[in-house]
Amino acid sequence: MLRHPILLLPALLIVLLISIVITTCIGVSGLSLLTFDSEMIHKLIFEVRLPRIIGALLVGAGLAAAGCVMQGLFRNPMADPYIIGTSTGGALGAACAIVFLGGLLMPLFAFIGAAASTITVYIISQRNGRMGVETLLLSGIAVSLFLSAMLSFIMYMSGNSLHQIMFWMMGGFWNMYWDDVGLALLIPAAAVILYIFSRDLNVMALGEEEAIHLGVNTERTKKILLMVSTFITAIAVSISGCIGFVGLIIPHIMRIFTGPDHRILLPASMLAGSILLMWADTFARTMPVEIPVGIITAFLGAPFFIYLLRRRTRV
Amino acid sequence: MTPTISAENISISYGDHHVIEQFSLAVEQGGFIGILGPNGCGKTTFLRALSRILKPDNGAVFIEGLDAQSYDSRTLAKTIGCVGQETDVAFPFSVREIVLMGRYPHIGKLAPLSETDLTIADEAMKTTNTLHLADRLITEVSGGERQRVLIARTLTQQPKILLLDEPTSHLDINHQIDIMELIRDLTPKITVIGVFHDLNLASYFCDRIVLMKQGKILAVGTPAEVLTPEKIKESFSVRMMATTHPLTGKPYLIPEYGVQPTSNSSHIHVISGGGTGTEILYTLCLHGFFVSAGVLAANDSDCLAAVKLGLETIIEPPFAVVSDNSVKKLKVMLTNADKIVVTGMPIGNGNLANLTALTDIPTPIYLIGEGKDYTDGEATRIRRTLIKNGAVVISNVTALMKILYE
Repeated sequence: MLRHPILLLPALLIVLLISIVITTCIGVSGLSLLTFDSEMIHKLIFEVRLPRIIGALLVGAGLAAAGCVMQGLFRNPMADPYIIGTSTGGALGAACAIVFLGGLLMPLFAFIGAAASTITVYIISQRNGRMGVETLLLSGIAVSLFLSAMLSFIMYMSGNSLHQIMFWMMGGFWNMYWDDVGLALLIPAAAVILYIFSRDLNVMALGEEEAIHLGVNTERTKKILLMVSTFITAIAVSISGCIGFVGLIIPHIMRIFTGPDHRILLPASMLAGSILLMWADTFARTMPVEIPVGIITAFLGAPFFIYLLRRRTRV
Repeated sequence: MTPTISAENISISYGDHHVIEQFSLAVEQGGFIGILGPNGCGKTTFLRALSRILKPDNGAVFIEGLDAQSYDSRTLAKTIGCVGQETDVAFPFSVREIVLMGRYPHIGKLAPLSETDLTIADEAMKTTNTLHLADRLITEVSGGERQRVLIARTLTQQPKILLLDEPTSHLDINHQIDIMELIRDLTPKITVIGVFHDLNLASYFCDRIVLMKQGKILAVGTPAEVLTPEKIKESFSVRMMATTHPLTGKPYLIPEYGVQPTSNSSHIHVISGGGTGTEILYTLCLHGFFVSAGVLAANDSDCLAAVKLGLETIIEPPFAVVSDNSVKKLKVMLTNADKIVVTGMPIGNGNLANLTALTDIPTPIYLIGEGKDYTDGEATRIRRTLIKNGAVVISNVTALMKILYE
């Protein structure tokens, strides 16, 4: 842990801003800011690269924020934004749009699938107005398994669309436009709500009963936090598919540097998530063949994570 | 005066199992109340009802005269603080961060901590002797330290009432006493209600004891009123001896280990004196024999032991010569006994009758050791006669037990 974790925030912000400038200059077209065809550059930068970069930035921040909140809420560092079935639901929705509507309204279907599956999990785990964290986790797994069976069935029957579904599921930003970015702007707005509850999340780390003893309205807090982080995840999934590892690893890594205080951990995770996903997407789009960004995040994230685990006995 | 906290006729059940039935208790400000009872009698459930973790099926809990259900969660947290049995903290917060969480009910969601908040937390850490741990991680302190940190956190809440659920379980005796002293010093400013499993710690520290049995109150009162062998037997179904702690004057309970004698147990009479029989009496009881003792002088330590063990004992007044009446009783007892044990007690003219009575008894006799003879050889002569007539001489208690089990 750093001596002054708070200083990490401006440092990450500076890295983020520099990263935006640099990644904007990198592209497979070979055009850089030094090229003099100004109209061409304008079009390329503002119509192609920037929406994609800002989209990646916002989705990265959202997944990291949702992951951070899920880990705090479930008191489990292995939780991630998809743990209660959001990704499988989103994938099923997207697959339906691809197979039955030829890809029309795919983001909308993905959002509906993600939200509906999560709401189903909530309803299953409610009992007498209370929602047990363990029940939530287990019903999430059960619903995910059921949905993934349906997904497999659709994929099996999909014929030519199979590649498209697979590509979507691995996640990517290849068709980001400004209206997608507009949608993604809901992510930081929702994250503000998460931040308001960061002190409550700290207290919840002591366990639910202890949190009640300290005056936290745990049922309300759980509901709000789950709904908001699901909303963020569903938006992220509908824009860019199921990008893994960001929501799991970023909060984890940041906790090593900032300690577990969510008032610093949450914004630090969001900044780091943005940086990671922006660079990962830059790699993805500059490869000889564009590959899904989810593959890159897993490729970079997992070994780095293992390195950190080995270096630090305490996580 | 309105009680600080009271439960009125509360009942709680998990499914069909009634954990607490018609439970009423009123606690005045400033007391230190200990709740005792066997596992599963509903102690913790009662505490959880007081802290509003559980809502009673019937009845209500009143805090400072108001229904607990009418409190909002922050106001309740400013009134009642709780220290649980075992709290595991999911993430490695520092001790200071944990203690400062106690300020949660006092400050706004996004408000920074003020100077006052930090001072209150520091004070709480000083009180609980944890200030030196402030920068350590909660996941890296010992069990006793963590318990003190959690008490500090609860004090930082500045509650009027403190509820404790076995705060000293899993701790070593030195930490148990530390923590109990710390808690007692909080009264009478704070009212303390605690569930305890150590009867003697509760006896020493609490002013009032609530003894429970199967979800009901068995007795309420001072330790001396409640901690009697009869009531403990009824609550815990175990026989306890109650003595007075030599220094504190509070009731001190000692469990009677061992097996209760049944009608099939063989009857062993022990003739002893001057403390030579205490171990034998105890060991025989432990093994479930039906034991009787005497004749003993009322001030003899063997006599005290025999009475504490609840044995049938023939007693003479202190320093008196064994009376004819006692000899008559002794002879009946000796005849009824299956075996007789005579210890190496010192024999004078006062207790010589114990030995004389043995001469015409057919029951098998075991002699353990030989004591001082203050009767000009009379006692020694009787011993020789007994041995000649078949009495067995053995060296110690272990040897005796071996023979008794053959």
